[in-house]
Amino acid sequence: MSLPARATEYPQAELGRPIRDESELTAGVTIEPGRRYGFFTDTTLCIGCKACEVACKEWNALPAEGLSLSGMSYDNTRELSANTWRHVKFVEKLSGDGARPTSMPPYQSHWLMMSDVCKHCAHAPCLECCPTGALFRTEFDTVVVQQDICNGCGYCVPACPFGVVDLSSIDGKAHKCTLCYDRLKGGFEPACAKACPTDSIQFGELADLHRRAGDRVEHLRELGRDDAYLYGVPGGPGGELGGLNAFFLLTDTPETYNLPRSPARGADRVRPSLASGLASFALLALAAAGAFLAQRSER
Amino acid sequence: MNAPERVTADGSTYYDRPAVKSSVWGARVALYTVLGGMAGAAQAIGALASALLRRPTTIARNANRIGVAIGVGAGPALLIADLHTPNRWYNMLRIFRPTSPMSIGTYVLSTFAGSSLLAAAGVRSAQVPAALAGVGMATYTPALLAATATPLWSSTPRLLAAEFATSAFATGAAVLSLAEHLGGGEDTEALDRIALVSVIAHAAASIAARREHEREGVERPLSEGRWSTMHKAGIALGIALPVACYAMNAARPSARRSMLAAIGIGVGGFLTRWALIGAGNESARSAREYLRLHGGTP
Repeated sequence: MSLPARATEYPQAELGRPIRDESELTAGVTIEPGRRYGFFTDTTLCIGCKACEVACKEWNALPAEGLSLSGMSYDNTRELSANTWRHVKFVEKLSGDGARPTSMPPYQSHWLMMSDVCKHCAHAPCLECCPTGALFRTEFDTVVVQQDICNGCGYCVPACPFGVVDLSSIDGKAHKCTLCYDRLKGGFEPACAKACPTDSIQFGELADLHRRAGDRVEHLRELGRDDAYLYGVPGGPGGELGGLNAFFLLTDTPETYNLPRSPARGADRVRPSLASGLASFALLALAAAGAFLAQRSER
Repeated sequence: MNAPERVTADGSTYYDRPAVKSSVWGARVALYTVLGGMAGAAQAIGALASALLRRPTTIARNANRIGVAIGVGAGPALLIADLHTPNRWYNMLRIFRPTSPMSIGTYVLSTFAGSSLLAAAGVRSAQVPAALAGVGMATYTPALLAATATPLWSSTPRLLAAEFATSAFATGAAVLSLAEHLGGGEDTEALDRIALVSVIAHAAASIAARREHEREGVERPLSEGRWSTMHKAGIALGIALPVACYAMNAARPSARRSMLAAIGIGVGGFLTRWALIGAGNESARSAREYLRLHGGTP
């Protein structure tokens, strides 16, 4: 990667103030309202260092959660929650007889690592079901919970098809990744992407990320990884919700990473359900009318 | 560019960790959905009675009182108590979002409460809006559950709605019959007939819903464990008991049996609903069932 021209403007070791449009230097992208931003998480580059988890906790001042060992490889974080907005999954794969395979394909081999995050869906079920408008779409095309509006009804929690949104037991509000809304407003790349040492997490404009991701898949296939594919791009696996602003490059089935192959939009089920409920009710109302008319003629 | 074909049949989930989160709802929300549906259906039945019987009847008056007690009192109280930041309950009224059944429900409940209050105060023109909002009260809650990613609720949106609506109609007729008995009214016979038809319709909808659950492979929490037990108890009290009582009443009418049937419908309806909500939460904890339901491959 070549050095951006502006990088030479800041030779000093310590800066007295934040760099204007710092994202141009760290991610090669200018952040402007009205454009679509997201994450491209390339799992073939993830080394499981959890720098993203730490950077996220640090920047967003998220409290630690129970410190204990899960027994699931090196994943002691376990899941995304109200206080954990990046979660590195460690998929240790054994062959059929339970032994570790001796021959491995390149890149991540039989130990898949994936930094999971809110997908910022184009048709986000959490946003579509939120009755207070606390969940909204920002000027950067990301999905954020407004903490001063949320009343903790909890509807977004089971509505999320990826199990991302969670209610905090500390403050009784819903929390999830904001794609560092505050940093974007200040011209900074999100904390996790900036901290990622291998660029497994890339932040940028969605169209640009799609192009880079497509190139990466092609490159991997040339190298012999025929199983590399993108999850969450419109038209592909996981693309049912109009695409995910945070999409992934995977090398095994979506299920291996606990991702639904075809996530569904809850709002699509509202109309059929209401229609069926109204029809059932109307039929019984007819029966009731019949019963009252019969009663009238009996007397 | 497609995902590899192997799906969860071999159990390849991420350490069997849940893939979606369970709702935080339990008995309180179950009670609200039953009471709300009951009051809603009661208002609809009350409006039908006063329009069709062409003589003074206590049904509509009782329905109005039940509508106020639940629409203005118990319903909002239960819902606000269930919020995790209850002092912000009024934020529900900030927006209207047609994709959110909870937002729809906010305005259905508000209309229901207001029109029931007016109708109870003697404003006759409020009876029809109260009845129409009552229909909404009986039908929005299953849409709310179906719109989540919870396997048990989302796999059968239509049948879940039929199950809730028929149960609401049965509880509405039952509570009105009970009120007639206690208040010395004379129209229990018609109400019991309505309740019987509704209970039978509810049984049919429940059977169809369970079959669809089995087809979709999400029936487990309703076929084993504590929610299954509660579900069976709900069916015994809410379907078997009232059908038996009404059958015996056809041969020899008894006010006590009619009241027993009504109480059975109410209690059974609550147990069934609580079991459906609890079993739904449990189904969301199974990554295998969720990922299979959204397997995509034919």
